Amino acid sequence: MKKLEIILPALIIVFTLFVVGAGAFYYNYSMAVMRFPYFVGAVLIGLSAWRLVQAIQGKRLPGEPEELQEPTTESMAEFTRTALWLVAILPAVWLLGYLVGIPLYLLAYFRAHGESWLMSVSLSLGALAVTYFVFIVFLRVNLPVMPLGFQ
Amino acid sequence: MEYFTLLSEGFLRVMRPDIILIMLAAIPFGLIFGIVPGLSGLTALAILLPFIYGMEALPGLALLLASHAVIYTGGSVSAIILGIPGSPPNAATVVDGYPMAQQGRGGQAMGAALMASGLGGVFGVLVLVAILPVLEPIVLSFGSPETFFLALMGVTFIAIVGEGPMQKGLIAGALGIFLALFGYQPTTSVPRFHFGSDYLLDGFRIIPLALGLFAVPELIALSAKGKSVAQTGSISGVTFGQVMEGCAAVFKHWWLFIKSSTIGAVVGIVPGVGGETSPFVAYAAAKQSSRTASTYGQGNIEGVIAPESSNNAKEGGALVPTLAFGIPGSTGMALLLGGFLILGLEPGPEFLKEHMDLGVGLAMVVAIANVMAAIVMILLAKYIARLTYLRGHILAPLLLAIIVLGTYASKNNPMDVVYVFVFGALGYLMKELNYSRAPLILGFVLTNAIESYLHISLRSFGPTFFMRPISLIIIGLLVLGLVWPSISRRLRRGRGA
Repeated sequence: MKKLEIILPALIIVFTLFVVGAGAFYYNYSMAVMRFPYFVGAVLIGLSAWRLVQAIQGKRLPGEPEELQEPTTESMAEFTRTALWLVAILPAVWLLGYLVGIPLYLLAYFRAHGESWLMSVSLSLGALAVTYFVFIVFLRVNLPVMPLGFQ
Repeated sequence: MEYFTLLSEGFLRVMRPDIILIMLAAIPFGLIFGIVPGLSGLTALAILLPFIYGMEALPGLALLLASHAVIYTGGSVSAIILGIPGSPPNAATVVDGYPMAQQGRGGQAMGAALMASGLGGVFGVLVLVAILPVLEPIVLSFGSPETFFLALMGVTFIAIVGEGPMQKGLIAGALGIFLALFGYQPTTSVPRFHFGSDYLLDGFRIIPLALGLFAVPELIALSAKGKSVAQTGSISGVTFGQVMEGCAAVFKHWWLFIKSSTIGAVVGIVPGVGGETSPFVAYAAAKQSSRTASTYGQGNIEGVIAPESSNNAKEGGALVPTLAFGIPGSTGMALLLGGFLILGLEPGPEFLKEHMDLGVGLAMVVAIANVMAAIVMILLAKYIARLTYLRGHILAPLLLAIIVLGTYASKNNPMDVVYVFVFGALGYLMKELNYSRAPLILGFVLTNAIESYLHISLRSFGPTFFMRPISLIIIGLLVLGLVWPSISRRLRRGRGA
């Protein structure tokens, strides 16, 4: 966790410097446009730099409940697996469209996580019905129902 | 007299069939999110945000408020039956509610909790409608400098008193403000930091940000857990007669109910505090003044009534600073401000001046939602509680599908769905590293007002715009809020030495 405690404020500093720098030197915005970003950017960089130094020194902040646990290899692998499964919905809806992609994603998810065929198929069909009747028919959302984003 | 007319008009506006239907849909949603531990009220609000696009103000806010108002009503059931609080503020209910369930008095505990929650919610609303007209002349004396400092104070206060260390909260608040700077600048209309992307011309959107910060990290936790939360506890022994006995107990302990609800409403008014604080304060106050204090923790029904009354009463109190000053009284209210933004409304002094009727209508929504939820739960709690047996592997992907569909539906823009995951990564990191996420969303929501009022103040009053009595008082409070944690730490250390 110590690495992450360092990485997050460092990332915030880099991101803020990049955005404010682009506004000042690339876009050449006027002072009226940049006054507030300068102020907020300075505060954000100042606070993050302070946190960065504390994190490098390993200092625990007041109000921090307990020592943050270092992630183990197993917990990292578990997290990666979980996160990848959740993110997989993006390519599913992009490749297969919302109407087909979501039920198929759910079916794959449930089966891969040990649910029975009956449960997996029923829930996926339920999701198909909700997507069609609630979002397309009732809410009239223009969902891309065909593969690769076509209507 | 005029205010009473406003109250009755507000009531009649809420009794429209479409609003009643919306509330009937929102209440079960809120109750389910309250009952299932791990799915917080914030997740429910974030998931509902995309659905208010294109709605009128009152129905849109009714959808959010009705679901939010009943979260803790649902949460009390899992606290009693499973010994696991459905939402963090239900933690105090576990202390006596769970032992009651183990003694076979779960129905009584549930009845008491549900009745206290429902009536507590109504009590909080009464406090709100009593305070709003008193506040009106005060907030009307606020000009642009005061409104600027007030908004700044809102972000700072929720960073200070929210979860996690103050310094991390302040970073989150500043990051929220910074993220809102993308897109058209409010006073010059110059597209700022768009980096050639059409999407960024309008800036980051509130819906992907709210869903990413508050829903995705919970889905990761739910999915990683996999199993159902209800490993213990039983709902089979709960009878309707027992539930009704519990309901009657609230009227028997009416003074305890009034005292605890007052504590909840008052704590709710203090910006950012509410949350987990008020039920524990009410519990401690009840124990201190009880004749049966020795049985607290062993299944005393007073230990259920006190925290549950204050839990729902605090939401009425929390609406006071949210509507009058634009400063959220609780974390949920910070997300609710996002709803106001989507509907083109800006809570604060101007809101109270122009939309007092809407404020009254919202108060009515909270009151009616609390009563409806209590009735639904008293009748169906035994069956609804079975939801806690749903496995994380089933809930997480189903909720994710709703999030993806809802996000796309809000603007028909697939990039919004991608940003849900981008902000989800940020939200997960923040959660793991104990950064409070509420200041980020509040900073994001209030930036437009902060920047606009800063520009107006500079143009109207020059660089010394802050040299006005009310502004100086707010600045003083802001500075005091920032230094108070370190002063109180030193005082405690001094006393300990």
